[in-house]
Amino acid sequence: MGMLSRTDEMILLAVWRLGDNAYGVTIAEMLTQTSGKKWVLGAVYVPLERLEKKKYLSSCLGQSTRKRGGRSKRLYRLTKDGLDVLIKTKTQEKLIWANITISSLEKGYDA
Amino acid sequence: MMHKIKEPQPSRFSQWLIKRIFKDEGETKIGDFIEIYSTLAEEKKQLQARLRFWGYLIRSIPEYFRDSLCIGGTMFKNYLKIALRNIKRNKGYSFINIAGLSVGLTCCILILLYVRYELSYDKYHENADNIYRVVMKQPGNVYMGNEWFNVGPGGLKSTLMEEYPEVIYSTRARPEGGYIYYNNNIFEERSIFFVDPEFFKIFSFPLISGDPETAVKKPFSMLITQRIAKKYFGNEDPVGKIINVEKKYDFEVRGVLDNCPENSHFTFDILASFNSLYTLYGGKDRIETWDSGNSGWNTYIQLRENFNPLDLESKFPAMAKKYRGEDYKGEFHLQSLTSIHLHSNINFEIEANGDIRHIYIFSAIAFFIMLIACLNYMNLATARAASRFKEIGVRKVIGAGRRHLIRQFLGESMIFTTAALLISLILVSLLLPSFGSFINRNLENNIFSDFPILIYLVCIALFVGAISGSYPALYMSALKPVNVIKGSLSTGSVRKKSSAFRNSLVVVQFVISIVMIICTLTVFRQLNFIKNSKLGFTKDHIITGYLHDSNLRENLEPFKNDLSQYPRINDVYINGALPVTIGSNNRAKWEGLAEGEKGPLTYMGFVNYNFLDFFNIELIEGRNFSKEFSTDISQAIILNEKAVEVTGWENPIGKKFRVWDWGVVIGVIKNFHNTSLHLKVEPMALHLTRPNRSSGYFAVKISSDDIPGTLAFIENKFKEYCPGYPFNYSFLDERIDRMYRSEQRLGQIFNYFTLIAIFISCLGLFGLASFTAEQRTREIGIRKVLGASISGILMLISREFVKWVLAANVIAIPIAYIAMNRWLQNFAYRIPIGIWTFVISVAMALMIALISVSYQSIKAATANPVDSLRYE
Repeated sequence: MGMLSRTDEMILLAVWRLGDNAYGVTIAEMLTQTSGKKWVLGAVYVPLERLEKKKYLSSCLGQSTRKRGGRSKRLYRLTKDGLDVLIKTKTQEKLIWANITISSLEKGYDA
Repeated sequence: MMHKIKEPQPSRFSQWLIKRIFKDEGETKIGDFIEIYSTLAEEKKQLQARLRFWGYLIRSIPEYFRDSLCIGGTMFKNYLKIALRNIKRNKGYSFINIAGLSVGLTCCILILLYVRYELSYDKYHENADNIYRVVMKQPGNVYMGNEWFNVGPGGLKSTLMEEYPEVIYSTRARPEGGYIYYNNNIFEERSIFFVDPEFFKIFSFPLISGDPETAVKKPFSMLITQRIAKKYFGNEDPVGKIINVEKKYDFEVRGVLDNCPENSHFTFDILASFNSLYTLYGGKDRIETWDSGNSGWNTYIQLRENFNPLDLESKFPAMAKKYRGEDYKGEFHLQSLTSIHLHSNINFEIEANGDIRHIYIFSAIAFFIMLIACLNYMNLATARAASRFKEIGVRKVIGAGRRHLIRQFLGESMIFTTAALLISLILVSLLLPSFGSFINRNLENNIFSDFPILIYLVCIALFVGAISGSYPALYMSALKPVNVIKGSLSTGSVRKKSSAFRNSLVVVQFVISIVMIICTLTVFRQLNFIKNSKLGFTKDHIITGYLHDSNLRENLEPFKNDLSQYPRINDVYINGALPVTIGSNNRAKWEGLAEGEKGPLTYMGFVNYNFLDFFNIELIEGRNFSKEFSTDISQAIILNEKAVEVTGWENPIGKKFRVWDWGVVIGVIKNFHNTSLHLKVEPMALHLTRPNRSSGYFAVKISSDDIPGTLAFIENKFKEYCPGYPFNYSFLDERIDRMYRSEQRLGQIFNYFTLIAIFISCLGLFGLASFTAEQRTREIGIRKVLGASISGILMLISREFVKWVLAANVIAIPIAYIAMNRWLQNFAYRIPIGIWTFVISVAMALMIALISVSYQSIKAATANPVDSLRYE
């Protein structure tokens, strides 16, 4: 299990947060909310497909609504691997950031 | 049935785009996008939502491709840099390429604009696809070369409306001309159309003021266009004003129309209510009838949506029999509105129409000129490949695949075409006004604000870039890196193949140019032939005009005498047909013709006593009309030779002959051409103008000095006798020239485009020659050292090109011969396509080729061999 890129990490988290309602539009919205940067649909498809290929995500066709012109949603869900890699990333991050605060960063040395 | 409320959806085009760009399994992505759009549409107005959505979509696309773009971008920069360096380093080549492409593109764009305009005729009507014109075919009644007529009986309109449910609306449109009086001003109007109220249901001509439902319902109401409103009333409100027509009828202006679009097969200035004509033509009964004498009415109908016009046409024979009797031979046919301008050229068209054949010819010219320019590019790019072998080799060794190289070279040709497109856009905007007036169409709209046109142009440019870049790209990318790097020696076979290809390109270019040269020569020779052929009457220094005012018709003799007094007026002819206005015909009869047998169609002219003398028409038998014979006015007939020939009379004088009324033949004249030379001379009979029936032409023969003074004198006299009328005149020879206007225009266009084609081919040849000379520098140097003469070396280089130009001639001559033979069939009187035309064009092509290679070959031949041998 390799390292996650920042984009992948954000997307996996977004899918996790959305639970049963994770598909293109909601994922892009969630990412926009959590990252403070505007995410468009075009930007999420490629990483989503890549993560699915890596087996961190699985997808299935969901129901369709009138608002979508009768087209179904592609719903994403974290796999066991996906969950593991997130846990690993979080552990790693904790280690990397151990004892480092913003103020210590500003001071410029390891306090 | 329940109606589903439709959710707002993004445009079809954007949906298509999304499907194409994003790999979309199960349509989930398009669903996402539609959802985004729906959210936008809930908050915003439609237009705003659409714009926002496009913005969103456009931002999405690069994001989607970001990964692949990162690598592509760097390479792209490199390609661009190399391409620009190449352009800079080989200024000559680049100039030739860009010049050729931009001239070619300019022609292409101009012709595209013209073709688009011609195709746009009458398409702006909302119901354009369901509107038809009813015309007649009268088998056997051949007039001006065809038996189709744009006429119909007056009763046709109501019959169609009432008896055929598939006809939703029908209207007549009767063109008239006349004088309009308002506020002490007299205006001559040529385009007054009398129309039924349904006119506005069928056609979409927007009214600025007034009600289309009622505007032309009442008799003596009128609608005028903005142009006329301005001309008559200035800034006053025209609605409600009364204007007088022909000093007889008062019309009320009931509304103002937009100016009639120029891309219409008829353009009006004034529309008047049709029922006004009841008064003008002596009663409703005389118009609303199927009587055979009552046939001069244009009828338009609107059919039910999706109704097949052939189904209606198949009911017409029964209609004709019902109303015109069992024996009636005339047929009624439908022409779809949108086809009239380009496909209909029948008798009594309201205005001269376009010609679909011209569209084909023009498109072919555009295509071939563009082809020549593309071939140029291919030719030069492959020729130049040798100097880029090392670059290609290095690229290949480093790992560029065939695809990368193809992409690079295609990209390069795209850069060239883009540059050429920009230049040609500038050229087009400079040339468009004069090109428009040249082809007699108003094309002066700003192409830069015309979005679809710009899209077309970009597509054309990309297409041209792809075509011209394809061969060089394939050719250069196929080279083997080892061979390429080792140097040019081992690529001999490739070189040979490519030079054979280049030569065939030169052949194609010259085939096109030579065909165009031959066509131009033939068209010009035919036009010249027409200009110089003897028509059988004098046409020079003759001013002609029409006498409108009926008052003048009673003062003809004094008017004539006054004119004759002027020293520079040699002769005056008045109150009779001109040679070129004799146009009505009928089946002739004569004594001795078997009962029931019908004679040929014979032209009939009402002329004055001095017709033959004035126009120098030669009398070959019998005598001229004379005032000494009192019976001449009622029964004398002069026939032309052709008429005598068809009767078979040995001695025609004194025989009885009839076109409309019986008369006695008193003389025979030589044939003269009353119609254009497209048509054969037909039998003709001349009568004297009857005192009660005046045909109001006049003609004045003037001497060639001080023409403006003479004209001013005639105008003054004219004004004296017909006060208030505008003096409209034309010279007889110009009048005759006008019959060939479309051919003349064709000839000139051929001329210009031929020059352009030759120019581009020469550019290519020049480039190729310089390349060959450069390639063979060392060979030439060695030859010179060994004693070759300058002329020998010139021969050496030129021979190769001459060979291919001669080969091109062999192909071009039959093509041009077939094409021109077909074109000449349009004329009853035509030149033979002589051998000289071909000799001249072969000589011209050779000369042009030699001149364009001579500069380079002379340079190579006179170079000091020391320099050329030292060059490495």
